[in-house]
Amino acid sequence: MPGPLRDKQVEKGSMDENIRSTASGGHDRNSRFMLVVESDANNLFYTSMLLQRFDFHISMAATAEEALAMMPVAVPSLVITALDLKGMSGLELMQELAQNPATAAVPVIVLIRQGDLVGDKRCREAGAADCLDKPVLAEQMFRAVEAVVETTPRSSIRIRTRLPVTVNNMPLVDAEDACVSVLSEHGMFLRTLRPAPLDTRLSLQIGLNDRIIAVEAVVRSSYRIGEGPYNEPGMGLQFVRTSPQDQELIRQFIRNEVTRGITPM
Amino acid sequence: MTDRANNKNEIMNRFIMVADGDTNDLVYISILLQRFQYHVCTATTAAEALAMTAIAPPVLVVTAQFLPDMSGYDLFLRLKLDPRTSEVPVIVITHAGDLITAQRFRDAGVAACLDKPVQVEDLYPAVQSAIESRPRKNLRITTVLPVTVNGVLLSKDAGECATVLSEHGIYIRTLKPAVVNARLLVTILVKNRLVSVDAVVLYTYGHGQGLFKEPGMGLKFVRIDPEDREFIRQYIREEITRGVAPSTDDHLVLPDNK
Repeated sequence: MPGPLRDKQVEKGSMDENIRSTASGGHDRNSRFMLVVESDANNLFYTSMLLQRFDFHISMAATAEEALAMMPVAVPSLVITALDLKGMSGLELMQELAQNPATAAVPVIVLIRQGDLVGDKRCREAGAADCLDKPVLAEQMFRAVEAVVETTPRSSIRIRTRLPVTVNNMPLVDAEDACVSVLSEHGMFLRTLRPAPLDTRLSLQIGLNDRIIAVEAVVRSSYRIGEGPYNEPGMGLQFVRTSPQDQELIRQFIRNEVTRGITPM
Repeated sequence: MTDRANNKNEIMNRFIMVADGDTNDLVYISILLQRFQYHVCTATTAAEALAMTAIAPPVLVVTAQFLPDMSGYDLFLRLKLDPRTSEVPVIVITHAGDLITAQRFRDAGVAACLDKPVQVEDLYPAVQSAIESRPRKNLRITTVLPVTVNGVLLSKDAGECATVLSEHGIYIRTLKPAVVNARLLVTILVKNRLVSVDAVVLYTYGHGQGLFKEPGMGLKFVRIDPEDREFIRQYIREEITRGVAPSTDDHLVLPDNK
């Protein structure tokens, strides 16, 4: 966000700054437009739905030829292609993209059949941004894509949720509405009207499906009504101690949530 | 899990299938639908579309009148015959002026026929009325526009601004919303134009109500210059179609051989 507007009058200079901020917002959305290329219908469906659940915008192509035909319509910020395709291979697609000045800068992530070390090596040598073994787990896909397209990439998936939570085994003051509203492997957002001060260490109990998991967490951010990235009051917490079993349960829970109804082959 | 969480999951699991042999329109329509916040799956042929719907049923199918391997009508019939997809509504993109075909599709029970090239103002309400329980007519975009209320510029320090805009109203994020039914003079800076409207407060969220909603007020425009309304409409169209355009290729794409 650019500098705040202080004048009570509509002043043009400040307004222009605002316009730029809106315009760059639009640009940011465009930078998250990606193309998925896969000849296997199930894998094409899986990868495309998964990336949309990560809030990216997606185009899909069943062949490299189709993918190349899409380039004049809209150049994506990333191409994610299988190496093995009907017709042209993912490697050939990469070479074609590299030869066209309009697409030469587009990074490519290649999805490779497990054990195809030769394919992996050739794609890396040809300049692939990353090579991932199939089947690609949700968190691997997330990390690989974030690393390529984001200036400050996130390492773990965060999901919007609504899980029951207690602090120090006591219900929260607004127990009715308080809950875990965002969850990742490494932290969470606890929605509450009475967030604790920064750096407070809390012992939390979170209801995850039929289990109660226990974590120790530190308050990293705190928001009143109307503040904060989620437009809800509460506190951002970083997990500082979790048992390996509970950590794995959280990871599983997130993976199940983002892959609900879709499975890789 | 609560209803809201279930609802959220349901939304995440929903997707729209788009089938079109014209690459340009396929990308155009699928990007628009994603900007309307839907998840999308695309196919360039009917065979691909049917292979995808067999994996998981979409909540809606948007198809061109002609696909490379069969007509949109045949795809529609195939979907109707399969018990897994027989209830899925279908929107067909037909050639502008081909009223007979459009009528035939409507008689057969398609949810809507839209003229090609598809206009964003037609696509949005058609999709809404096909799959939403409370369909919206007008496109709305999320935005960050400065506003004045009764001549006072709202404080950007406190994050106050118009966060949602349609041609009929706005949502203003503020910690001090006016009372419901209050009539306000609102000025919005849209691009380089100051748009002044009379608006009525329809609902508010503040301390004590809708705690976990964005605090502020929903306003309906009750007096707006027709030129300003057209300007807002244009602005919304530009924002939502940024970087994409429908195919200008107007010739009929007929099935190869059938």
